[in-house]
Amino acid sequence: MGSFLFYIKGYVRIRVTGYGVPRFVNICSKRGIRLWDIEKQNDLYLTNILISDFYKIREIVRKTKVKASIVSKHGLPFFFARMSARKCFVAGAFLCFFWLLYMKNFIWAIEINGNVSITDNMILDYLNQNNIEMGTRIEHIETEELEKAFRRDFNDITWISVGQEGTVLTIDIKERDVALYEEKDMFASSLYAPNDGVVTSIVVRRGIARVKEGDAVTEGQLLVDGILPIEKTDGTIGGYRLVNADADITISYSDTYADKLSFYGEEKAYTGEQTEEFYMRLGNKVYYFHWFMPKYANAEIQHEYKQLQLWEHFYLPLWYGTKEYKEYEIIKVKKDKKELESKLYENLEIFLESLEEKGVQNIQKDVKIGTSGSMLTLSGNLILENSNMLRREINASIGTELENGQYNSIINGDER
Amino acid sequence: MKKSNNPSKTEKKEHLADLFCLPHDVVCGASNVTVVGSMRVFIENYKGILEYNNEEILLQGKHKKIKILGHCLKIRTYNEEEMVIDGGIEGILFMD
Repeated sequence: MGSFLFYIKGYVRIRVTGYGVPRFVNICSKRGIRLWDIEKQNDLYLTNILISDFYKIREIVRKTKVKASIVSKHGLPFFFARMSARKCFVAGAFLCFFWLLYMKNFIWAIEINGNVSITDNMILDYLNQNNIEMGTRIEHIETEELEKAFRRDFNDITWISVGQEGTVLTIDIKERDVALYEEKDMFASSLYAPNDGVVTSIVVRRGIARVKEGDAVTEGQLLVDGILPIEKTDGTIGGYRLVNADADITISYSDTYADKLSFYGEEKAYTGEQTEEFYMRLGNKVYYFHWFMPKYANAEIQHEYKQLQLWEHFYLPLWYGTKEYKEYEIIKVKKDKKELESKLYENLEIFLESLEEKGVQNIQKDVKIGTSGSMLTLSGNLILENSNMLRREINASIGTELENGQYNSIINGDER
Repeated sequence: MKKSNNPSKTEKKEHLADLFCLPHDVVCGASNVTVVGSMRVFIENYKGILEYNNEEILLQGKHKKIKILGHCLKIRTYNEEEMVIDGGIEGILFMD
């Protein structure tokens, strides 16, 4: 803190020579003249002294018969004196400062976190509809209102937080679990077969099983009924209870698989020619900087850019980066059979992985590599097991299927 | 560290300080020397500098002289209350 105050007040580093330097230092101390960072270099002493004190040492210098001269000047008073000779620089610095002050009133970056099914573009479009985009004044953004609007217009959002820090608008989202959503939002539901096949296992937790293990089922067939009849003590049906059917069911089925790849294809052959250009985007205007730009018939362009960030949460509407152009020629090539084979098997694995994500597991695969004209094929049968059943809501129309009078005694909803 | 030219007086003052639980440097006027590692020394209760160079600094205390030995010695702060010396401290001597 002391050194900061010295900087504000301004100080000089002086050179003191002569025999009476210790005496000079002692007298300064006694008279309250502050000296600091005293060091000896050969026959001379260097010390710092405040500007105001420098004018007081004249008498002490005469008395102690030493010589004092200024080595360097430090602090704000000297800085301002130097700056008075550089008016344009100072004006530019002030302009820059006020420009930054002005710019901090706007949103220059939007960060979206936690979204899965709702894409960034959907959110940005929605913000746009609400007149929020890069360059919107921060005072025009009502974060609480925006949160409410999001919750109102996006059913899949269970939690949202809209925050603004610096020039960044941050949107944190938690989306609804889809499976949970389907069941929770339904009044009552039954489970149906998603495809033709054979039931390999069925464990019912809620509802009435309409099929058993080993039964062949067709697509759309009712598997677990969500309508539970309530039996009276005399064995007659007194009413119906509607529930969300819940069961672990797997249906096994076979499917054909076919994929082919051509032996002949086109490939990029890089010529080795490449160039790079620097560019800058200020708002919507883009400026390119390059000495010479060769013309390429085909070129691969790689883009790398960054937004100017002064510090955390303080972005400015200035992007800079490079564009790299790599020239290539398109050449026709005959592909290696082994390479194509591995590519076909790779495609099959990707296909099976995508099925797995949908709840379908591969039990057995019987595929063969073959050639058909200029194509290499991979085809065969897959035995699959689907554990993702179709859930359909039981709506009021079901009442027509139930006997008159009994419909009224339906106990509403889930037992949970 | 309390130093005095007159042992009997010093002893009396020290006894008094012990009796009333008073700080010795205040009662006896002894110099207060605090060493931080081997690179900084704080000194209070001194009268002035007698000699100064990069290898040694000789100070006049109230009763004794204090010699700071070392290399690259610099006086970081110097005023009537305290003095801060930076550098490679090698030894501190108290001399009559």
